Amino acid sequence: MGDGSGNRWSRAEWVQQYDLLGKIGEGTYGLVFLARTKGTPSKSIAIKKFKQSKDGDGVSPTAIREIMLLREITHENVVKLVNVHINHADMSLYLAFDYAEHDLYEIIRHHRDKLNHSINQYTVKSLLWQLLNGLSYLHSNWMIHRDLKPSNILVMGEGEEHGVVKIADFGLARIYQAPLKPLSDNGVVVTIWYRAPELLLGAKHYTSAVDMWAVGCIFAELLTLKPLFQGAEVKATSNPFQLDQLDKIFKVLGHPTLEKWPSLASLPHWQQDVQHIQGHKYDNAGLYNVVHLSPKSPAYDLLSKMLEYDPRKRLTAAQALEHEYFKIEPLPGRNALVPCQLGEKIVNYPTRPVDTTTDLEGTTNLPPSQTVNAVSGSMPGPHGSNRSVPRPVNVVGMQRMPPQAMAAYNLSSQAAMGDGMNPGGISKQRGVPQAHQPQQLRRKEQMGMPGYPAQQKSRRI
Amino acid sequence: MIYTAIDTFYLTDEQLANSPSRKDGIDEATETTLRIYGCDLIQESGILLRLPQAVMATGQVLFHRFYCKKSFARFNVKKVAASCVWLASKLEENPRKARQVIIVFHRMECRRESFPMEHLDLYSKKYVDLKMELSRTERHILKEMGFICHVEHPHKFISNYLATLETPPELRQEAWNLANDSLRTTLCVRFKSEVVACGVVYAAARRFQVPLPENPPWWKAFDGEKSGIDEVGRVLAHLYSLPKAQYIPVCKDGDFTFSNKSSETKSQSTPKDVPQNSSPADTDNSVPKGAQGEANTESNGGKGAMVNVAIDKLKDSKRSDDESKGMSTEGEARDEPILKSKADHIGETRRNRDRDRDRERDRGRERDRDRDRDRTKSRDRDRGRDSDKEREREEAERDKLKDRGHRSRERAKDSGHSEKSKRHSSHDRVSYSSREKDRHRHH
Repeated sequence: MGDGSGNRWSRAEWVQQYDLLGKIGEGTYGLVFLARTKGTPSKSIAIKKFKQSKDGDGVSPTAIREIMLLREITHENVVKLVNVHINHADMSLYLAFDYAEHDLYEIIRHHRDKLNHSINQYTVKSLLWQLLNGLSYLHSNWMIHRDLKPSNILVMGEGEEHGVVKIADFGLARIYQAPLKPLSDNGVVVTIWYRAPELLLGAKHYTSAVDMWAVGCIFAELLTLKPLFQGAEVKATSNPFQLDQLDKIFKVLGHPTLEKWPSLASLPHWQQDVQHIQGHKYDNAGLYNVVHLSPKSPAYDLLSKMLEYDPRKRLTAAQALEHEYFKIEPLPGRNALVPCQLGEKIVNYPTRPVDTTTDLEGTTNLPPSQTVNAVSGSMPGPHGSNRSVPRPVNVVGMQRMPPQAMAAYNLSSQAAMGDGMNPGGISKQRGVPQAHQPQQLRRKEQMGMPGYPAQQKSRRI
Repeated sequence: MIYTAIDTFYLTDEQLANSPSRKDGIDEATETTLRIYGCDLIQESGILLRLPQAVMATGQVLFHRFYCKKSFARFNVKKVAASCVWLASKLEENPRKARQVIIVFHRMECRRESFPMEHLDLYSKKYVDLKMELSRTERHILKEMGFICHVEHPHKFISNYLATLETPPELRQEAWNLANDSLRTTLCVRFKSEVVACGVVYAAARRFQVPLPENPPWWKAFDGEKSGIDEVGRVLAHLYSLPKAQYIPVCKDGDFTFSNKSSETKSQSTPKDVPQNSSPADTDNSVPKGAQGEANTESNGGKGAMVNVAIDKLKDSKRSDDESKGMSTEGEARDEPILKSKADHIGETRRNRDRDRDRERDRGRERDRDRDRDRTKSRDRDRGRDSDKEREREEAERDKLKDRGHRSRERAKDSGHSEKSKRHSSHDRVSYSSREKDRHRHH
């Protein structure tokens, strides 16, 4: 079986450009593998496999959407999609990403469980700075991520891009420039601990501010090494209202008021569930007590503005980058893991376990006779990728990245889309009959435009 | 402001003229007909699948983009149309099952091509093969698009433009309908959405004789260009001058059907083919059977080969007509079968259209029960307009049928107009196309 399987896979042409090392994770969409490119210099690649649905309904819409979005964007702090392979034999789809060794979840867990020490200021600031840089880029291109959480924020391992942050997992991302339907039609989004209050109260229309709330939660988690609002999710219904999560938020930030959040009255669940909400009373509410920051410090000011209840007053990513916090020492840097100051101690974070017995089909085989070196240099066993610590609760039905997300390592030119027969066959058509105004001008106009007139909603195209 | 690659799939006129289909020997008129036919399939199937119009709009744009990269001779128009509407339903977040798409396309094919209405066995090999073809074609489309399938539609801009120009409310629906019709053409791969939006706004304003400001020119405020706007009007006028698009088999690998009967029929007729190259002729024969019989009679019981030769000559004559764009110089004896063939063709077209309209009316009646919903009202209004347009077209063709002598005179007129238009300036050309459109609507 193993030999046969190996032979079969070696027939797929696109597989031959990689040395497959093993499985590093799995999720509802399929599996994630670690591989290295052949040739010099070799680099690490994470291959994310989208399996064909049982209904045989062709390419997964989530995969199409993720590829579509990642093909459109290029930024140092966003994961790089290196290639897409379509396997004709079983119609499965493989996305090749530059591999990132670390993610914020693992970094936080390492400090909490192993070092029992907080993350140093330089690293926190640099991680946040780069995350905001990538997010500002996404938002300026009308893209909402909608699933920001520590496990989706990757950090590159040793190499040319050591310590660079990469935003990953665009399965829930959307372009929200004049959407034809309310974004809430996509159902419940954002993992619950990082979900903004307007989402929890059933907002039909929301903006990129939901991403900034999640960043605020991540910032606090980097400071305290534990999730800021750790509510229990009721999964039975598709009801966006989650009393426990809101309770956790109000306990820290206090009750929202119409005075501070005027559009609160129009949120469906503020009206319907106001008795549940008002029934609780919160004493000693104060964000500074939880994160142990002086209310006068720039870090506290930045955090509190990210966790503003009113989405319209919440800080944007671009505004956050201009905040005083990033202008005081220590200044943020490109390598978030290696402080510039000589006095600080460098932390060596562990690498991900690799399950070398699983092939691209997802079948566990006996190890091949030839030795395959795992990246980590050690393998706990068939269950190496399992985690002993419980993860944040995932929303039912949402496509998820595995615990180990993927991201870029080593800059490389973006390869063309390919399948087994025609790896480099795709080329973009780009020709306009007449000269026209630059796209930038038009994009700016779009940015400045107010919301589209209400009459458009009632009309179908 | 960071520029992204979104909305970059545009071609020059030269690239369109040298399309992959042209390189495979498919002439421009045939490719145009097949593009319209494919878009008709996408639109109708979307209605049957109860998809929002945005899905059909996206599907039609993907359809046009795909055939800018691939030939109609190598990818059957019915397969691609089915996969485009299926893919668009995923992209626009209204996914439909492959089973639903196949059932709808199978039924549409039986109706449009007069195959016996049969039940599609979901456990037959035919169905499994169709499903595989749908997935395979979907992957081809994604691959050719490089997985970049963002589509921006002119509809987004129409309401804003009309509001800014402070035009009467009746222009909105007219511009909307024109934008929907523009999707059947290659305007979406030639001009940005803003230009198409300006073009349909302009055409609607001319239709209702509403003046738009020209000093300064109104289109400059909307990223439009006069030449592009004029071209939009010309292309739409040309679209409305065409008869209803019919399926034309052009695939090198033989014809494709969703239905079983046609396959069986074709396999039976295959042994009867004497010359190899007459296969397309046979396929063409199957449509107007009466014409074929008459042709046989008129040729005095000529042999099959002679009939095939004659039909080939007719085809050559048609092609040369297209090339020279002049009147046919055929003798009167040969004109007769052409006329009869057209008559039968038009009759059949009308029958098909009647059936389509009946179906639409039934659906409208069902929807009328939900009168409380605004969307339903808007939809009914829109559908009514489409029905009106079809009626206009039908009446126009009925007039043609009634007066054959008049038609020859009209042909002379058309010839004169085409000669004149070559010498006119762009402004005059606009005037010409506007007149053409008015005449079309007047009928």
